[in-house]
Amino acid sequence: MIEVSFTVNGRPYRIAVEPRTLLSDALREQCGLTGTHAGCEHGVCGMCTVLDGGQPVRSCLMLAVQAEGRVFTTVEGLGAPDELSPLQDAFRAEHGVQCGFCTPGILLTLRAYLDQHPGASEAELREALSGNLCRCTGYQNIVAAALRAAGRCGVPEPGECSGERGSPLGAAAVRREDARLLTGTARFTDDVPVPGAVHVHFVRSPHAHARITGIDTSAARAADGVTGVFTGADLARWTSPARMAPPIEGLVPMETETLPSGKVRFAGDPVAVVVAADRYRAEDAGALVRVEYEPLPPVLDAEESLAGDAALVDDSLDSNVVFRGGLSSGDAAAAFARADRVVRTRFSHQRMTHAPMETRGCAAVWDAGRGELTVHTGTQVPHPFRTQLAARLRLREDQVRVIVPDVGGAFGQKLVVYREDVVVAALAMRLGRPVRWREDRGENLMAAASAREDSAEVEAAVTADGRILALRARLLSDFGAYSFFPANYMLRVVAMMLPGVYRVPAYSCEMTVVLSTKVPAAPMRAPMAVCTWVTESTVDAVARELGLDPVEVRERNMLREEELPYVTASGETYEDVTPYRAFGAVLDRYDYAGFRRRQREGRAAGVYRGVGLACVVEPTTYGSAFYRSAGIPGSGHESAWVRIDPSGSVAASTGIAAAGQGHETTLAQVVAAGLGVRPEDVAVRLGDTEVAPYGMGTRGARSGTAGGGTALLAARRLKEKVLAIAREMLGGEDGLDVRDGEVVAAKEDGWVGTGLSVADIARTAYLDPLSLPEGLEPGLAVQLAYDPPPMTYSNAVHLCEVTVDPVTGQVRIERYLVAEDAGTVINPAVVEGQVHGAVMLGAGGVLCEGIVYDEAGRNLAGSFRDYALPSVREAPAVEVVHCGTPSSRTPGGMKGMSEGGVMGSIAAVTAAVNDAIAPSGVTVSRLPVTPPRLSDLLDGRLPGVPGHQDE
Amino acid sequence: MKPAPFEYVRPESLDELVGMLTAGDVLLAGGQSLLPALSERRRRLRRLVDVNAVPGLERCEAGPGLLRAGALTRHRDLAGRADVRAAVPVLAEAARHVGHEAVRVRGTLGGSIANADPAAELPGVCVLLDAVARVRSAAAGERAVPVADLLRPGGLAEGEVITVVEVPALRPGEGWGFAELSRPGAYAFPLVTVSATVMRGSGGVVTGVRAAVTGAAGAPYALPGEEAAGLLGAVPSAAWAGAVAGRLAAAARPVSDHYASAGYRRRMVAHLARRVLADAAGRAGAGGTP
Repeated sequence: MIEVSFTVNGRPYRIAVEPRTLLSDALREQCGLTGTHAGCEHGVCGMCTVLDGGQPVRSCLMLAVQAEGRVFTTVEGLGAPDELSPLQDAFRAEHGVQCGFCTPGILLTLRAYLDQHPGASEAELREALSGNLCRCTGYQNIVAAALRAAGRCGVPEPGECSGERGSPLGAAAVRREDARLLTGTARFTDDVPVPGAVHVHFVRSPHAHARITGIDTSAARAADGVTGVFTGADLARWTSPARMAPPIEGLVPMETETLPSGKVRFAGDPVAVVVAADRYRAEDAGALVRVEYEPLPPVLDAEESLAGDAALVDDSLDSNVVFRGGLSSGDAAAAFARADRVVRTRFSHQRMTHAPMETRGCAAVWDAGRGELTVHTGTQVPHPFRTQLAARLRLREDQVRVIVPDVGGAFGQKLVVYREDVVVAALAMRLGRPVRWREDRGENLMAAASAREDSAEVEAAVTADGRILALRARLLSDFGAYSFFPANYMLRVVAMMLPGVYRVPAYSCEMTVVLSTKVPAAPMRAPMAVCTWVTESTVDAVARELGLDPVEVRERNMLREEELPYVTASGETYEDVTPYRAFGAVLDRYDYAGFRRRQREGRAAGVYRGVGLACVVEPTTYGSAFYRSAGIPGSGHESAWVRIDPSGSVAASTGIAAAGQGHETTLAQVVAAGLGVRPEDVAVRLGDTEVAPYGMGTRGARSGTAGGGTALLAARRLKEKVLAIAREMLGGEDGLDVRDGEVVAAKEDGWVGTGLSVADIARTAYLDPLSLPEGLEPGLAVQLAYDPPPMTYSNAVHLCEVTVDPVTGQVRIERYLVAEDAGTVINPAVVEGQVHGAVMLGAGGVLCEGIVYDEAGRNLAGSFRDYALPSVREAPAVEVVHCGTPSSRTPGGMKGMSEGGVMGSIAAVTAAVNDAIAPSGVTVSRLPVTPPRLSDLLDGRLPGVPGHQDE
Repeated sequence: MKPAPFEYVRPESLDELVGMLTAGDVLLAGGQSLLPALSERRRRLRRLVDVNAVPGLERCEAGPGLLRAGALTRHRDLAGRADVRAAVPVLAEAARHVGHEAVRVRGTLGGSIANADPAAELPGVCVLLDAVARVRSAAAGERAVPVADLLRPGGLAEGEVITVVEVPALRPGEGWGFAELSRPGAYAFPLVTVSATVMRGSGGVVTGVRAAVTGAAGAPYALPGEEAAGLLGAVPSAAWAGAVAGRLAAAARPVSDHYASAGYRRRMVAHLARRVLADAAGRAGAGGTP
């Protein structure tokens, strides 16, 4: 150990470190400054940025021993929650924070840059921030905040928003979460203090597919600081396997061991777990675990599995096909027989991963005396997580408490009880001491969960004037090595949404899902996302083949509002959606004819511009009735409680759990609207299963409708009780309401105060119950559950304009417009932030991201060097036009939203690229379309552009 | 991941440093490539020798006709110092492209050369300008080695330390250009870079041309002298730039990998070279290097 002295935020520290201790770890663990986040530990993400003598450095790329005599600033030194610096305040004002995990590094990068470049321009600020990753915001509001901090306001005006004037619903309120996220006082899973905890490290398979013929843990067990080393055989004794066997036609039941004992099925599959005093020692010992493998052929190509030519991924099954299903309506065969033209398209989306900025992780504490397990973890679904974890550990649910701290992004990756979570909890029970695990970035990229390796072949039967008579689709999905979800789950929704916003009189769709030796698939923000790409690009192909304009073909086929409610070809009922109005809103804002002129002129000068349109219907909320009718197991209900304490303070909770969406802020707005108090007077408590009522969590864009809807109903019901008590106290006066926490009465000149406040009512309700009206229980609390409609549909239209460099293949997004109809908007700034982030997530998949396997099945994208996330340099400025049409079926008129942006941007960006390169005669149908790939694809087919033959 | 254990020493003089080195020691300069390799356990070592406390290695002086950049000269200084930009603007411009600000604050010229990534920016400019490194070892004392030689496998021998890099300044009137094509996404590591200088004489004809490429072969390479000789005497034009670009591309030995095809890399050499040569020719003049 070496003693090191340094200063952080003006305070001296003297600590003893090993030579290898990273500065980031020393700051977090020995100085207790957990605002410095470890996002990748290989120097790419920028999250651990601190200032060293005023200069930004990556604290994961410095050793703690190098800190001797240096003067650091961390995020904790910038300002306190109640005393934000102007820079921090700019982020709050501009909604520049979502999950907040990347925020400290961004603040410090900007602090240093603005000190040296006051008044920097947008281009300079984007360049300065280009080494800081963010997965939530699409960077848009980060840039806005940076501009504000630089004294420049380049903020686009918000669109019109719905909501009653003066109501907390519809207000672009700043987020209450932000003060802690901006000051390093938030608490993410790895920041939760767990005294006495030991750390685990998972030993993972280097092979894609191999039989485990032996594991020798003796050297590892003897290593310094090691508590124990355990394998699949141990975990099989202590835990139950995960069984995925819902009674769904065409779905093959599957079972997954807690740790594999017989064979590994993808590179990254965990085969053993080391428990040690710290992560360093656990990894040291992990390197000493000797696993003998007998390699088997990797299974990487879904078509080979379909043809029966591939090795078997799951030895207990007959084939790699784990789901086959179909949907059909109308007489497709007849429609194809009478079609003027059949247009054929193909699509292939690459495997992606969610890449939340905070990786997975958990900490488990077993109280042997009480027989109670507490698990701290960033799950999206605390109650279902508890139910499943308890079952896997053979505990009663009441023995398990799940506490969700701040969560650094999830996007669907944190929906599952992972094998690692079960292992950590089981070890805490077995070892009788707290156990914690923080996944590193390599594990997250190679072994957490992936998504979207879907392909489609489509035939459209059309008339000569471009009317769609029928669609036939064949969908194929590569599900990966294990079933963390029912295998039909994602593709079923793709098939359901494929008709999109169009009248499709006849439709048939075949779905096939196969296993492979890749990271298992899970829903990822817009699990159905490829559907919009497939449909919209097919519409574009119809236009191209018939020589029509894409706008014209859409006009001809698109549903009009007056046709609603409309039952689609897949049996879904659309109501309260505005596809045609949103289409008009986008085209009104964009000079489409002018673009076509600019495009022609540009092409003559060698400039390739393109525009892409995407019309989105976003299925959201997913009530219980949806699950039943779709043959997918699950409940869609949600629960909430709202209570007023004797002092008049209000608290509320629901079963949803936030991962950056700002639920605490929006739920407070909803409860305030329902109860008649001010949002700032409502405390929101989420994520602790001992506090929150049993609900289904945050997924499928359901939090606003299911969570918010339930909270609104509970708040309204509680207001009825408040008013009942007020009426009694005011001698039976009628026409009362609650506004801003005061009981008011309707008079001729408006609402007039009665002199009673909610606090007065609360005091009576709790402390003077004998004064309550006959039959009313003491206290002021309501808990209720609500099952929302099977589906609420949001809709949107995206328009993307790009320029393609025909030589380098680089694509630049020049303009991005979204008309969004998300119903009643609780907080337009939050909704816009969701649109920005979703657009970037989809565009990132189109332009740069992707998991790549070599022919041996090794994952080549195991770091942020190789899994390329978009930076602020690539991020478009998204213009959002709100066209809020309230849902007639939900409390408050809310619809879900947050995934549609992904659906729209995959389609719109790809369409824009294809429009730009149309003169080449080639069409992009496989993603991603990275610059090298696009350049190779064009291969000199555009006038004046060199290709292979010129080399 | 976290690094495996190692010993750590921090010598405080060049003599101490050179005297203590034994087989297998690894030097820590900026650490911006080394630390990830250690943390990911791609690289194991017995002893890490931190050279950051050795006095003098950070000294960077732009003298007449020569930039003497100590091995610990940070990218940020190369990119930002007015005297560096005046002497070797092409090096300053290349340094501006390295990583991101936080990387440039730590990363060093000596480290970049020792790391010898075939696509990295600064080694390419060293090859362009025939930079020479002074290298010390206990066994052989000091020797001067062309940086191009250090970039080849085995170029830097066991026990050797780069102390200073001598980069000849551009000549009065010499024009320059630099361009980089990066991998998409936030990491933005270079795929291909091209740098060039052009001298022009009376009537604007080219009297000297140099160019170098990274990312398109196992090591950075320069336009061979005899080829450059054949390109002199012309007034720079698109066709002339195309001819130079063609020769640079023909000399490429690119690989295909999951970032880009070999063909793409070769095309990008030609594409960037056209632009860089036009920039260099445009900047060249009798009156200094604008």
